[in-house]
Amino acid sequence: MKGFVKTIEALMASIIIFAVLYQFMIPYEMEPWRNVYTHREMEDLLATFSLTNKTYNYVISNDWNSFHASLENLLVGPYDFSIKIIGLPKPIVKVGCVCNQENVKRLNRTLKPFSFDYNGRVTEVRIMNDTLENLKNSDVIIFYNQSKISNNRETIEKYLKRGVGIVLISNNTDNVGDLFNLSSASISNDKSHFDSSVQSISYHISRIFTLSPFRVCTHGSESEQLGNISLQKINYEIKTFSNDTCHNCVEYPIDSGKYYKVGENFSIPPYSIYVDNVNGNTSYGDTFVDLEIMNKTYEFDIDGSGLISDYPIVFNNRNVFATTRPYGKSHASWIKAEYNYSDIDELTKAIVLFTAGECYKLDGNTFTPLVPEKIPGKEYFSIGYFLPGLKTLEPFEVRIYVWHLFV
Amino acid sequence: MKAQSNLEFIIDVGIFAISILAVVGFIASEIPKIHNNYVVNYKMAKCYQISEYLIFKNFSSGQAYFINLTKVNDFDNFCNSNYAKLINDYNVNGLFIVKIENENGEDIGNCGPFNKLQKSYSISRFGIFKNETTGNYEIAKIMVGVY
Repeated sequence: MKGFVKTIEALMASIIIFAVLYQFMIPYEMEPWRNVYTHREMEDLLATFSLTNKTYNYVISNDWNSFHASLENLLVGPYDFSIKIIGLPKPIVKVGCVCNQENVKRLNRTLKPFSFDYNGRVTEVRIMNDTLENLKNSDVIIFYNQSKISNNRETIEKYLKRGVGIVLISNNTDNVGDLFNLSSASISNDKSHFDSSVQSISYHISRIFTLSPFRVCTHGSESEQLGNISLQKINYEIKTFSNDTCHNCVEYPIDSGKYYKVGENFSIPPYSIYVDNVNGNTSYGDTFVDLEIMNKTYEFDIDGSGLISDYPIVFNNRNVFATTRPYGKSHASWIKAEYNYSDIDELTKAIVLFTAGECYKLDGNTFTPLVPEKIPGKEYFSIGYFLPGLKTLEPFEVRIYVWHLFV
Repeated sequence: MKAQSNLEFIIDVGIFAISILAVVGFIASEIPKIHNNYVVNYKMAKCYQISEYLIFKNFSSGQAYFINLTKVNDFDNFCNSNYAKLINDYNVNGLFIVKIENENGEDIGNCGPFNKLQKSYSISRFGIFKNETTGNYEIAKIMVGVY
């Protein structure tokens, strides 16, 4: 019996020895080093490309092919990558409109100019008027009638989850349901403003507001044309002209002899107005001036009643004029009413651009994933680099997603 | 009678012998792996260390990622005549290789037996240099290997 117990002891000791030894086995790991090296190489590449302005030029010209070829030429190893831009509107913003001809006319007027310089880059707005089903590849869809939202709730939710934004422009808050989290509020005549805290959506819309122009159409003779800017419900008359003294210029105040060219600022106290584009020559078609209000602290003299929201865009102390709400991969926004004022046009345009998304794939395939769904090894990493904007130094981020092709 | 072994004793000795043999075998098989891990880690870390030093200290023109071609040429010349001293200075256990190219793959600088670069553990880093002919800033690829 004593010998048998010793045998059990020996067996147990052996098992313990093997169990302890197992802890000392060191797996051979090359993987972490390769990942560290690739990570470092990509950081170097993004930094050097950015410091030599290559990244900026490729992003501004939307030149994915050259960007891809340049990186591929220098990158060591069988890697592939895609690039996401965060903080700039898409180069082509596809605006769908589920509306009648009258609505389309109003939207055209509000969103003009359709092609404009945003932070040093040309951004184009394309309006498509169609049924909701045919607008699934839009970046943002505009509604003027909330019953079309409540009647197509399931489809709209599906679109929002895919990354398509929704904007409702309507005075009527009935039947919207919880999509925009709306409720009615009492009337107030206080001036409405943006929330200036950087963390708020409102702050980011105020950034777009100061960078996207509104159009003032001017009418008159060959030598000079007149038009109106309406800020805070007050009309200001301006003049466009093109002659030997000044080629395509805007004069404010009229007959003051003070004129401004594209790229210059003038003042309508207390606000600063930037001249984005002018046509003062009737032989080149309709005359106009494209202007931008440059103040992020701009105050809107509009009725802020109608809404209470967790995510206000423009509001006074109690009530909200415009609001947005994150939903799925996108935002649903609501503008309480449409006024025929220049500052409201610029605000509406800013809200439409924000709701369309400030994040896009550089290769233009908006609805394809950034990283292939079946990556070998199921591993990828991403690195971001911030670049200053050309015009106002508002930064945007270039983020590169890298994965190994054959792991 | 005392010299006779019983069955339990024989089994115990057998288990002991198997255990010792297994432990020795295990250690014998793990030591090369541990050594290999050490070599890989050492060479990879050394590559990284040297590349950081070259880009941000030795070749630097003062601003991060900007390298000075005069400093690269000086390093190149020094390496040609004092390679052994560089190995000692960088504390490399083996050989080290530095190869610098422009975006078109043309050589800007070399140090060490660069024909062995493919077989060595190596890292590629990137810097910016001023092309004196065109006046433009261009990207340089700096490959550092430890063999």
